[in-house]
Amino acid sequence: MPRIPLQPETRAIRTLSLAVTALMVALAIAALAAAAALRHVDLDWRDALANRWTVELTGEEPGNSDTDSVAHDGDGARVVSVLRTIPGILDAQIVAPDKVRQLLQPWLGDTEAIRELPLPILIDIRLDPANPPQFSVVAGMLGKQAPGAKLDDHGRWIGDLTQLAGAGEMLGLAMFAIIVIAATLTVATAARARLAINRPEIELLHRIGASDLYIMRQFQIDALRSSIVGAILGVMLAAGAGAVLVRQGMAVAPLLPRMRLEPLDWAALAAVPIGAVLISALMAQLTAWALVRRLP
Amino acid sequence: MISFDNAGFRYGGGREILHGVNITLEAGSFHFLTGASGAGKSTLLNLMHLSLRPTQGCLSVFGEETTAQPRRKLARLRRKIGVVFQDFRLLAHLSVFDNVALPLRLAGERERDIKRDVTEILEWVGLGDILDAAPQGLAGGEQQRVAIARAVVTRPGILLADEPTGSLDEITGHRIMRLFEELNRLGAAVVIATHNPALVRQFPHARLDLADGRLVRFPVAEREA
Repeated sequence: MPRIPLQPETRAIRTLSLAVTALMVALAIAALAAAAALRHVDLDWRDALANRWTVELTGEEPGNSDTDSVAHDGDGARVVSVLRTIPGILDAQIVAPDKVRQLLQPWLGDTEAIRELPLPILIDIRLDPANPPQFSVVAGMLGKQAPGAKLDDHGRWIGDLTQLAGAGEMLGLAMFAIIVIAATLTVATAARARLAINRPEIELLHRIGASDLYIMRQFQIDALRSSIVGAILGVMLAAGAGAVLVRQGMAVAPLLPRMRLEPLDWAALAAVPIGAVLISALMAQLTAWALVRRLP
Repeated sequence: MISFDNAGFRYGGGREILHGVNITLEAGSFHFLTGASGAGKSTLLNLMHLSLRPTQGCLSVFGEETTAQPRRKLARLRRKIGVVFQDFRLLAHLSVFDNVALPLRLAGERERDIKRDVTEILEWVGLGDILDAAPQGLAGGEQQRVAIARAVVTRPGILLADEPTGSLDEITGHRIMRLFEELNRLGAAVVIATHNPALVRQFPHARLDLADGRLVRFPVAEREA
């Protein structure tokens, strides 16, 4: 295949160009993946906590803050039996103490102290999604049976987390948009520089009968070759960084839900390098067109 | 082939470089273009190969009126015109072969035909042994011959050359002039801008002389008289 009649880039410029494209693609993938993953985290949290309430029995009486008060298993069993009689509650189960300890482990560590710590009794309530009971009714009954019991519908927890995840998702999308704009401007600037360097070549091609389309296509080919390599490097960079982050994230925050992506998200991520290549080719064509249309 | 009808040209709002140009160059005609430096020879050549458009009057090339033609249609006409630029305008990053092959590739010729034609013309101008050389490594005369080969490789209907023998020794210059005359015999209209009176004397062709923005044609007989 004959070489295109444009000046080849110097090694330094080519390396820089590849690095910029690779970084832009990697950043765009990271931002989009983060936004998508946070959207699913929000949904996962909602799903996990939907139609579930929790009762916490500490053994404390209202107005008595005696820290030595401990709820007894008998208290828990009594409350469970009462809860099971309430219409709209499908089931109520005491959470095993080992599981409660497991939940506290990330904060307190795996020490002897955690085994000796007086733990509250947690009761997991499963609601009938079609006919859930009123929160105030259940809370009132609990107040009579076990003064000091706390009923939690997770609304605040879900609300806070949803808000956090939503903000994270918006931030990710905003970052993605900024990266796309920055990448487009960078590509346009690079294309203009490339045109300026190749002005004598363009004028010669024009004078010996090259059509505008031919000249623009040379720039497109040039931009495509460079951007395809850059995009592949960017995907590799993003994949590597993603793998490290997932591994690190699982190690430091086992309580956080696992980040997951749906097939549609993977398709969107796959479209990022393709989009980068297309933007690069389009900007090269538009920039070349802006110059060649001024030729006689 | 080329017909000016009361054509004139000025750059921007500057003075008129050419005015009242009325001339028709037929197929198979051969003209030298002479005139003092700054007389407008290069401008006239640029008009002829459609790199400029007249600011006044009309210009027809290959029978097509070009003044009002959309620019996208001019590329097709330019491909039928061979041009030897005074400064050669070779692409430094392409080999001698690829420089000469460029107009054929623009015309969409097959690579097999391109190889045959380019090799043949480069051998004709005496550069058959440096097909893969880079232009910047060549002497001025060799670069000029590459530029000439590029201009004639498509066997153009019109050949325009700006000082095509300026960097050549006498023998090579004569050889190149014979090549131009051969193309001319095949029907091409040839216009050669030159400062070299010896060249004009040695080859008996008509002369176009530019002075004060006006073009005057001297037929062969009148010139020789």
